[in-house]
Amino acid sequence: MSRECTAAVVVAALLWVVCSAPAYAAQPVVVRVGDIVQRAVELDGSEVTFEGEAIGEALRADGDSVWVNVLDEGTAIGVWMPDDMAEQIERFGAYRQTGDTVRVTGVVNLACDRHGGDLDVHATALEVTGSGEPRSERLRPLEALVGAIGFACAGAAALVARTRERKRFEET
Amino acid sequence: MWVQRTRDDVRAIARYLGMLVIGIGILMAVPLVTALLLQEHAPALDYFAGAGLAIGFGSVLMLAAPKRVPLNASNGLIVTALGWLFAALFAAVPLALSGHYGSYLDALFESMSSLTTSGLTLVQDLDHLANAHNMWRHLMHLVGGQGIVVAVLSFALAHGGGAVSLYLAEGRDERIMPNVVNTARFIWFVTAVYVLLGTTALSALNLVRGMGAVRATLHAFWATVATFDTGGFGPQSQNALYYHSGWFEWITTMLMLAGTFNFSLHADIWRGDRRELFKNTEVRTLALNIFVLSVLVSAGLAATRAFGSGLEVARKGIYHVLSANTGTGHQTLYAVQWMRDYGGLGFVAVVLAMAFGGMASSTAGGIKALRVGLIGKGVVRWVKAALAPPSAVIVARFHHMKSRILQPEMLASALMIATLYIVTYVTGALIGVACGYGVPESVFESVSAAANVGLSTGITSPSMPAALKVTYIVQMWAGRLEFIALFALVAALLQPVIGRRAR
Ligand SMILES: [Zn+2]
Repeated sequence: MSRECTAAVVVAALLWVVCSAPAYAAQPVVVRVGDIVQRAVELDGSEVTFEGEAIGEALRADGDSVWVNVLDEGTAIGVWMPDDMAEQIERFGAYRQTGDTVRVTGVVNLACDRHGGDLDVHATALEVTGSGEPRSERLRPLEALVGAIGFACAGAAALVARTRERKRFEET
Repeated sequence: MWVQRTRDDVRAIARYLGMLVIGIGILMAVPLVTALLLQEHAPALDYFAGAGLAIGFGSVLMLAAPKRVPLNASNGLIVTALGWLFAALFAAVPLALSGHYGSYLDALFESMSSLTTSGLTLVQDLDHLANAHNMWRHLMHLVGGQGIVVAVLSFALAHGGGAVSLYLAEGRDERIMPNVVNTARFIWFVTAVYVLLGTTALSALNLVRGMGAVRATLHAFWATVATFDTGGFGPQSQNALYYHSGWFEWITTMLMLAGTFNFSLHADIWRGDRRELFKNTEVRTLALNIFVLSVLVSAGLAATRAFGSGLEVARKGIYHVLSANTGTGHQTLYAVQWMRDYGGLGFVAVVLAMAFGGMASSTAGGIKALRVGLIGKGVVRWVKAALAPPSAVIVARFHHMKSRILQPEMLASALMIATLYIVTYVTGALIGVACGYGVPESVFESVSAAANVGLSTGITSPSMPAALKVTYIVQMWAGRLEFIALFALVAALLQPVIGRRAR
């Protein structure tokens, strides 16, 4: 191997170490909530960023902190955060409404020592990126008809049963 | 043996089934009122349609036979087996209409799982499900847990008579009070006390943690019913993990334990007699079972080195063993974690806990501690007899309400039912493997279904093959009935064929 070639490799290696390392440390990985659950062992202790819908309510935890559960594509995860961080969230997802979309940056814990070994995320930053909306109900008049026919059948059957009983009573 | 079933028999069966379906329809008043109070209009319509369909169909079915037609023991078995199926079929209607299930089959899976207090779920987007639908999902735990046929028919039937056979057929084979009606009343009384206590405690917790008053109470009631009736459903997709609370886990643990207690023991405790609690073979077996398996699960979890302290390991270990042993199925780990992060010893111990199950005459599922205890005593007696001189008479004793001698028939019956459970566990696992899933998760899920537990490794999902959904539905049904009623039904259906051949 020539000397230039070796030098080039060394320079390249140095460049790679110097340039990539700070970038890696500064930028948390962007993941889905499902990934956090699926890759919890690998992501344990590292900082990630993810987006999802805040659901239910902010549940009081110890001190000035709360739990906000964040839902993304069918998987939800508990995010532990200070009170004031959660105050930005106006709507939480439920039957009547979808919750605000939040962009959370935080540290993944496979088995959190502070919280009884739960798989959770401790938030370091939270940003509301979309606001929740009311969910509309779709009424189907056909259902009312089905119900009404059912109750009508029940009424008719009760009448038939009563006439039969009366007939039997008269016979005896 | 092969009693020819007459047309009158079929009519009597139809009449009682009709009564049961009407009962399910009337129960839908609870979610209907919930929907109206909370102004959930679409769900209100779902329950109006569901109730109309059930009450209409049931009324017509009741016309099959006149009032006060007697129901013999053999027909009682058939009513019980079919009763659970019919109840699930009609209970599924409003769920299917909710738009949260992929198909009617998925909704049927849900209603069967709920009525048998299993807890495996196929619901989609649970976090946006209406309160009325959650009320129905959890109410079915309560009704099914107390014994659906007893629950509905004990109020409709005259004293004694057919109700005794129905009660026995449901696999709650002990009479705590002199007659069935009193027994049913006592069961409801005990249930009401625990539900009230649990709901009050959890409501207070939820309020302190910032839930709205209505939501706090509803969540408390649902969690209480799901744990005391050893069901395992929850109103949020994360199940017990939603709450992030040690207090929640502690209160629900107490409720799970109370729920797995034999109702006869509740009666003793109620009368102030605590001695039975320490002498009872079933209590001892279950306590030993829970202790050993908790140690194993904890050892398994500790070996993964994921947890920072022994306290965490114990908290996760004991909660899941209790959840599995009592047949509840509440999880504080994600389903996939069982396979991937915490496989090995912990995984195996949880499967064993599910397979053994809780106590007889409770809402727990599985082989049940009394049978496990009797089989254990039988094995010990066998070994003793083998070592003793030929002239010696070796008997095994056990304590269940009173000191008894283990009779060969008792041992045979315990062994037979245990074998049937094991055959069902294995069959379900084989079908799971045939559907392309791995062996460990197929075993886990199959045991969970047949023992009415509800813990999951993630196989149970709307995307699983329909054949597997049907398999689990049948397993939950068979496991809840402890097989006998179901076999009677199969025999009755095959009877025209077999009967003809025998003649
Ligand atoms: Zn934590």
